[in-house]
Amino acid sequence: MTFSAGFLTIIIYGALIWCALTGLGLATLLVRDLKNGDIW
Amino acid sequence: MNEAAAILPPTVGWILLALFSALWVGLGFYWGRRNKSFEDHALAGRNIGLALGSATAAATWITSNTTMLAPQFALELGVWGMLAYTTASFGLFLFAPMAGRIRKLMPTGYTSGDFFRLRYGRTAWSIFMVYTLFYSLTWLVSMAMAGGILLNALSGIPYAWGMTVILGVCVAYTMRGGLAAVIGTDFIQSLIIIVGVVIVGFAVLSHVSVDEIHHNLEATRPALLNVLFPAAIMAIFNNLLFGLGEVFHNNVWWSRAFAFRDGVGGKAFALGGLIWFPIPVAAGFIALASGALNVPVPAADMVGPLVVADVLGEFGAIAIFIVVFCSLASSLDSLLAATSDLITEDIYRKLMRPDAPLETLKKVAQYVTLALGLFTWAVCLPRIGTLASVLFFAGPLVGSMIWPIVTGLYWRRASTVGAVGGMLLGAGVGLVCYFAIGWYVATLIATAVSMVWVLACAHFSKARFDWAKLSEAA
Repeated sequence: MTFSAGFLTIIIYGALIWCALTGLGLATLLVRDLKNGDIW
Repeated sequence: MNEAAAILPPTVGWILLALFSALWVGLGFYWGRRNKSFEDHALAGRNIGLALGSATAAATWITSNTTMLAPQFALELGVWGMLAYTTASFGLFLFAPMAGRIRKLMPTGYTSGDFFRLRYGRTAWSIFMVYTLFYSLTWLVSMAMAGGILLNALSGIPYAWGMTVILGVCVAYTMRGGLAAVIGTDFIQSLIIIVGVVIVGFAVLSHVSVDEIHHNLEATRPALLNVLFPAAIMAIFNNLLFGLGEVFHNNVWWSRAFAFRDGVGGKAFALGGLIWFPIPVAAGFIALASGALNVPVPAADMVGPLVVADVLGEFGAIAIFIVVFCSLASSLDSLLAATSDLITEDIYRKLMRPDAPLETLKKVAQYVTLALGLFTWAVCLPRIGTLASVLFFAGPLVGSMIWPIVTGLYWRRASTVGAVGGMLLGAGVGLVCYFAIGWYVATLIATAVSMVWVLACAHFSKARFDWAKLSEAA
């Protein structure tokens, strides 16, 4: 039994999109904390 | 590796090294101006917000191992190898609720050593200190050594110079800026790593499709697609437990739990886990593409940079250089800061000078950071080779501390006999199995033996711990 091409596509593109979203999320969080004066 | 075999000209490597070194040291000195006492230096004033907290949890866990070893895991253990590596994020997820509890039970605590001493007494604390210092120093030396080796392989910068510069830069800004500098630079480093991994990943996919990668693997190395790859499945458990043991015990993570603002710790570690979780797949799949792209791979541990440089040329090599440099710095600085705080708080303050003022402790912590840097440099200079096997050797030690910590934080009936016995028995049996069977079962067995002993002792214990004793650490 082997991993299918479809499964490989999902985990690879999923991981890259997930990374991109978390990068955007982090930047957004920083802006929010900066606005609220909550950064440290 | 000589200059001709490197994927980037040494001049470009030196320019990148100088630019980023100046950036980190400059920021460290700037942020260090706020630090007046040991509390400011060691815990950034206990007021870190969610954005910096989440980024530092993820960045510290993204070592050069993540960006370099994930492709190697994929090349040697296939799809399961990448997925096994992602389980290291469970340490961050499971530490999330613990971080909130640590902050609540120990509002004035400084280190994980404080917890062991107050919860289980001096004997358990002594064993913990031996285990954690062995592990932390091994990790520190292996990171610095990896820095020299990787910079040499990527750009031809001589090993001794690369190792010295990256270690010196991290020591300089950690000494001056303390945890605030470490966490601030971690934020920038985590964003650079994430953006770099995404750009490189999509760029590789623009040269070869996933279908082509799959077809090539089916034809040439079908074992890498095997759902029932035994060695890879064993790696899942080893990685998972090693990650849990490391995060649960090490002061790198406890210092952050103390430093995050009240109510932030749980969310920050959970978000850090979510940020880290996809990185091994996003960075690791590149290795699976090496066959479809016809990239020769003379050394498995260099597969990621080789594929990227082959596909993307000098731009890709520069991107990999920056990602690796950021990965190394984000872990080295955290280890330097956390280990220095542990020695300052647990050894200097508690054993030698309990009445030392906080300003003096800050200076001591800075000198300890410098001493750690010099020690690491002296050990790394001869380039004795890889320390990966020594890190695996530490697996049973960290695995044996999981249950004493978890039960000690949540169960009043968790006892000193259980903690001391769990750490000694677990590590002892685990090390015997390390030599008798192999590294891949050592952590698993150490954790299991420790669990049985700790749970049995807790079951029969009549003692009931008073949680208020944990708040006496100030």
